[in-house]
Amino acid sequence: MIKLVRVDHRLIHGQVGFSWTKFLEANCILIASDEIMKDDLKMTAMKMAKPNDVKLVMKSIDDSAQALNSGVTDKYKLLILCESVEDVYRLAKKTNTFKKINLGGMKNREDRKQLSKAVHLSTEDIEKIHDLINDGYEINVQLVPDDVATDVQKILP
Amino acid sequence: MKRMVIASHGEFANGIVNSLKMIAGSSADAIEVYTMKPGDLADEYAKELEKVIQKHPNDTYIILTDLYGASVCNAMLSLSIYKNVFVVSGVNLNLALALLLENSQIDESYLQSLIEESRKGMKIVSMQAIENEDF
Repeated sequence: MIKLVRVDHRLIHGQVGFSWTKFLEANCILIASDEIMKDDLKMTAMKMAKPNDVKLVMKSIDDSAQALNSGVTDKYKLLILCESVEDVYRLAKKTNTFKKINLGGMKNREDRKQLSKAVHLSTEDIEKIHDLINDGYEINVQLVPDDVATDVQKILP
Repeated sequence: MKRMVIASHGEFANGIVNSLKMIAGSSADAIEVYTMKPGDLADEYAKELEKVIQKHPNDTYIILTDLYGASVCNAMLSLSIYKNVFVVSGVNLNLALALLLENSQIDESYLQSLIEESRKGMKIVSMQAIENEDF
């Protein structure tokens, strides 16, 4: 069962490793990222950041979609993490296993505008979000479980 | 109801709560903080806290202090006579966070297990061989 799909450029960190996994009672985290599979240092950091009693699987976006579609993930209470809107968009287009997306943190970049405390989006990101909403996705902004979730449409320009 | 108190020499306790807010959000606002200033008597704070504890016999108080055997910890020691009070020394962020996020009832053996788990957060950090798990 997929408990949450989250976009967070830091992937696993304190808010995710402790607050979200505990709140969701997740027992498995899937990091869907092509970038991380090429980055040993980051993979090590993710293994360190995960809670002891939670399984961590890291896969490319294609392999992640394949795993989700095959049903092997069904037995887990799964938290899926993507680094960017672009990545979650690619994942969503390859699978039909979730309909909600949580926006956690997207770092500031030159081509991105700040839309809330931790959410920075480029024009392309915003187009992709509109496209996902048209596909029936519910997308909200929420940093930690304690915060109120805001519908992303309320902050989009 | 669980009530957390963090007590320290100087601003350490405020710093922990500040970090907890960043990681866990507003639930950390409920933590009571005592920061002993030079010239303060921690016993006086302990007496004030005792009055509050007596008014709430059904709440579980977890008092996290900094240095074992130092004056803040020693002042809180007198409160450990209450069945619903646990005094802990050597607080670290791992333990404070684990307690904050814990919703189940906390008894002594469970608190002990959280302490053991939190100790594991203190270690020499190094690159580990990556074994990527699969489903």
